[in-house]
Amino acid sequence: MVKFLIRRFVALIGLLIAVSIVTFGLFTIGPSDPAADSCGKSCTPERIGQIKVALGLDKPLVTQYWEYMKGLVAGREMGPPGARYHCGWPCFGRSYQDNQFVWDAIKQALPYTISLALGAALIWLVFGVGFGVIAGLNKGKLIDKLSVGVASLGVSLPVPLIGLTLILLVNTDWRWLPYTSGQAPALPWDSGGPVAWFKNFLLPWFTLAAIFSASYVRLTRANMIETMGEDYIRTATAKGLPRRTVTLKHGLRAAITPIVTIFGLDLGGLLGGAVLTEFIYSLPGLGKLSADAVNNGDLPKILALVLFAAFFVIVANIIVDILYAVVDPRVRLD
Amino acid sequence: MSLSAGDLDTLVAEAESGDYERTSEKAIEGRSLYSLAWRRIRRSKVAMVSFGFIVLLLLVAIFAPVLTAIEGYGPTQLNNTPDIISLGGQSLSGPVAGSVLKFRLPSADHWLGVTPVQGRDIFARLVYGARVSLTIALLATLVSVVLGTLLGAIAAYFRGVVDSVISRLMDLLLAFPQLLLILSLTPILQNRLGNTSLGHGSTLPIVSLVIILGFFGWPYLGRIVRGQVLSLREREFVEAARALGASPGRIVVKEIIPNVVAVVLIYATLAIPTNITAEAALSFLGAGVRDPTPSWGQMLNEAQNGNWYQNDPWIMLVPGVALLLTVLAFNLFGDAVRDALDPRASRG
Amino acid sequence: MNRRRPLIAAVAASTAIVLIASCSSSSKKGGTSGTNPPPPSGSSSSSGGTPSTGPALIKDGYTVKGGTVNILVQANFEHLDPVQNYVTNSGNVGKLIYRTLTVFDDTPGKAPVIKADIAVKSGPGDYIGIPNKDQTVWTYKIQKGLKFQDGSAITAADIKYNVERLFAADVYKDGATYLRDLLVNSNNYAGPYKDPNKDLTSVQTPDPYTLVFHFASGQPDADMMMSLFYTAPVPKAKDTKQDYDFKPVSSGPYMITKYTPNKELVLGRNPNWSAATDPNRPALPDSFDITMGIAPATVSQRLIANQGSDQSALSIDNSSDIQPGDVSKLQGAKDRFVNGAGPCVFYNIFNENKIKDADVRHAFALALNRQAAITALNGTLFGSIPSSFIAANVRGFQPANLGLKDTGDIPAAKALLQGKTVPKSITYGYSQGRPAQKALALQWQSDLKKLGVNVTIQSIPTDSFYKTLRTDPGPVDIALAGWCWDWPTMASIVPPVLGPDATQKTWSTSNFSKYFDSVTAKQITALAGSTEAPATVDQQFATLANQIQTTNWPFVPTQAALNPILVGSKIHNVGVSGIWSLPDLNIIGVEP
Repeated sequence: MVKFLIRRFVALIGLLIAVSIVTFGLFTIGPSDPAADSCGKSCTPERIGQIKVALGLDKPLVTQYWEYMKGLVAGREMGPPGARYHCGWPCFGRSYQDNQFVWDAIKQALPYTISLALGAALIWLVFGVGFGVIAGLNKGKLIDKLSVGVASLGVSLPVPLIGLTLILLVNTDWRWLPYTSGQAPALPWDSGGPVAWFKNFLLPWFTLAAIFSASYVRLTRANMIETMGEDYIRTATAKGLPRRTVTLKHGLRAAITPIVTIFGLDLGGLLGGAVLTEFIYSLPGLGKLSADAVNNGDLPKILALVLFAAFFVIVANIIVDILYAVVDPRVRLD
Repeated sequence: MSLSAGDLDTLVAEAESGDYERTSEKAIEGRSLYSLAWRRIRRSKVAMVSFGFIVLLLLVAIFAPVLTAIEGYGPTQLNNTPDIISLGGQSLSGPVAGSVLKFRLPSADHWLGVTPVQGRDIFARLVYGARVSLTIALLATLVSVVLGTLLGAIAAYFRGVVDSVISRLMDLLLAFPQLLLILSLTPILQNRLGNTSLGHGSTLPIVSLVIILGFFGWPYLGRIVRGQVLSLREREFVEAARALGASPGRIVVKEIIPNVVAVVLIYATLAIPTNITAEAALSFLGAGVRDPTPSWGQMLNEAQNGNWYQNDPWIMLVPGVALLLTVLAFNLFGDAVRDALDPRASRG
Repeated sequence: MNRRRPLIAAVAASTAIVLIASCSSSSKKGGTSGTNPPPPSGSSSSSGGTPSTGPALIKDGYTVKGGTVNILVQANFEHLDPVQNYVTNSGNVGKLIYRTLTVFDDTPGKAPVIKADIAVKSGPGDYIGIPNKDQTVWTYKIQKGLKFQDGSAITAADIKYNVERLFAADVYKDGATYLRDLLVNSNNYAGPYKDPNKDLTSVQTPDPYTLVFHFASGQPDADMMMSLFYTAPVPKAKDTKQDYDFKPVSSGPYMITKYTPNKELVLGRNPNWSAATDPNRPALPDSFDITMGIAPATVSQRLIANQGSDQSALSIDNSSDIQPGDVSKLQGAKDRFVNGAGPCVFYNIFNENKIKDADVRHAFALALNRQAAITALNGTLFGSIPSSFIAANVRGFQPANLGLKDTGDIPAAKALLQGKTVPKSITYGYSQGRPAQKALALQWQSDLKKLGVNVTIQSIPTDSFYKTLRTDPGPVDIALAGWCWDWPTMASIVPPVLGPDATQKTWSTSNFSKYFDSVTAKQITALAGSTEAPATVDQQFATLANQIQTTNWPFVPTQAALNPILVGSKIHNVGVSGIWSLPDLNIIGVEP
């Protein structure tokens, strides 16, 4: 087991490094020239050179990459001579846009993304798995057909359609949700308290959860049906175990286990920022931060956010692998 | 998804369903797998309706110019004469009068109404948008299929270092946050491509979307194909063929490829709606297809920009529902294809 | 991001750059900043001709102190460090926090007038500083007894220190640079960080309340140049360099009490600011609470809804972020809405190095349906059809006899094109992410099609829009450019837009049409440095500009920008500032 863990951990580091090299390369070798773009009036090559120093772009690429990685792990000194400053671990540099430390910007945005992801996750787990189990156990009956139908529909819903329609309904007719109230998107510890937070996140939660719920219904239902069709279930029933025990203790557990791993992967992906949903509702999370950074050509932020999101995806993958190994010893022999 | 057991299961399924005309020899041959599958699909009403919708959509996309000629308005034609559009005037001395927009709602003239400000015909944009959205999705899927099949098969067949490299590459690509990376890379890619002979016109976003979506889609298929080929390599009938003296090439063509094709088909029917959704999302965020080229995602972007959809929900609902129905049709049909080619899943 | 605007600038025409602002409230950065040639000597304020900026104030005449003003903005401020603060939204806030040597009195409805701020008016006539004979040396006396927020005294050394920081070009990449460009720099001074032992010899402080500036050439408008934030005092001991953006020390009526970048900025009263020394700043509200990161659509809806704390709210984003789709809802908000012309006019430039025939350009101008163009640029709320590329509120304004029809004149255009070689295909370039410009491109496409010309629409990344327009001949044939004056005189507009560069041999960097004529170039340069009476110079300038417009057709004036401002019902004293096109935060009042 330990050897397995070590191997996975080494793979994690390797993948992270590979991702960082590729990302760094993509964005620094790109055709955009942030120094020339910031250079406003009377732009001379000399002025561009000065801006490059200010932005730390005057060193060779390999040096830039090395210093960047060093900063990520241990912090580093940055800035032009005479105006050096310390960028603490993890150092993602400063934004080209407003000079803020990118890590600070990420820290600010993270609670919104986590709020969104966790809230939506709760909803889609309850609805998705719940209805999936019910449908799977009642195959062929009305509830099953209905669930499948709605799930198929749900999986096909375009996120902008859901989001904009919800906003439309709330905005024009009811007005009891804060889309036009005096609140900015709030966190539970902000002035509006948990109530404001809840009100602000309700629509985004449902929007994000809609598609996941639908796909989890289908997934759970399929798993449920397959599991309940397995021989050992038939054996258990034949042995005389009460139906409830058979279903819940044996069937459900076997059906749900693969769901857990998929859930881990989905959640990992969301922690990098749900770009579409945050964009539609203007939630200041990592997704919106990314969209804005792309619009503004703010390379330090873009680079940081891609690395950050990749980190979550990779870690989620590793955790899922480990869970699999815990559950299924055969995997460890791989 | 293991088709290896599928051949056998097909027999069982056929037996169960009472279709005794099928002989066992025929069932093993790759070709009739498809006619079998088609027969199964035909039996499902839902699948046929979806298929019908898809065909209809393709026809609409292909015949878009004809349709718009019948209606009388093109997708980029501006119909913003004051009698159609009136944004309400105001003078310096006082604020606004109301904003009155006629002909927004469907009429005999404009079948689905017009967009605000420029009064472009929504029906025309919808059908031309279908062209763009479908083209991008289909081409991107094609790119993924080609890349994925090739690289997956190569990795599985040759194993060793080649397999390691390709597998690690696939892992790497799958580790990236897709939407985010596509979002940030698209401007860079477009910049690069724009400097080639492609120019900065309307085909640029389309080409770059096809490339980028196709490129990010291949690892999924690559993994599946690799797994498939790996398992097939060791199958008895391959060994049997080899024992009989068949060359590697013949083995590949007659045994491996037909089974791989089935997997690819299933993947493709799932990838197409995924790519449609992806293009819509990117265009909605402003990173995909741009004005004046219509695409459904682009129409959603237009609707949301400047808050127009609040005034006029129709301009958002039309492309939104179109997307919904299209993706739904592809999904349902894809489900049917999968069930048909892999009966084990459908028995669940 | 907001439209970027420079504050005031006064430099030679060679360093002119155009400010191109968007009429839509999109969240993209605006253009680069504009600079202007010196106005006719002897006048540091405009006189004669009353430029009208439309209806003046909402609920004006308010004098009650107290209350908190809530400000809603889309994005974080780029810089609050005075040496880098150079765009309208952060500049508007900067004026609350720091004082400068001079400041513009910008009462809506009147022409802006330069006044003394930290400086004491000591010069002859209208001058605030004391010039020497050839106006290369300017001496400023400053008030005694002014204090920073911590109670320490403000002296000339603090102002000099900020000017020194301006020379640290490798640390500070943004900001106005005129003093750095125009002051004498014989010892290659590179800022107080790199060269702590060198001294900036061109700025002297013979005593703690006097500053002497040595310029390389004569600067009749030095007073206006001194109103930019590089003359804001910065205490050396509190200079946190790159972090000064987040902790600037206040010399003005308000100071930062809380700043969470991208979230909230709260300004409270500066106890050590003395109202008696600062007649330009009524400073009525007790505090300003700025919330950042709100989507423009949300700002628009909140201001319209006017609920709860939004009743004391306003926005310092472009056009108060009013969305075109929300315009119909403004009906119910008439008493808290004001609109007015600002300093900006937008025109579609014709690239003269690609469309070489003036008649063809004229024909294109005739073909454009300018009424539809206004609608494309978000409608009549945001702009009107101009009669010249010069804003109507400029001193000495004369409309050009364009001879254009509002809805376009295709027959006349076709007649003009008879027998001419017409380009079959034209490229229209629009700035990416500007839906309004995109819409305008479509209008051009539709109109020129009637002449048999195909328009290819090309999107240009926002950051390199001006770079692209400047390349010669470049890929773009027609694009939307604009000019927002920094002060309302002809001399500040005509030379950068139509004049030559410093070498006098080619067009200037803001002359995107690439129009160049050696005869008019000489005339323009002569007028710019003319010492004749302002009214005469104005008239000659106007005539010359109109003549170039109607014979050469370097561009077609497309939109005179209007600036709708919507505020909460408890806000008073709001008007369209002539310089900022935004509500001037210095005069605002709010009901507690």
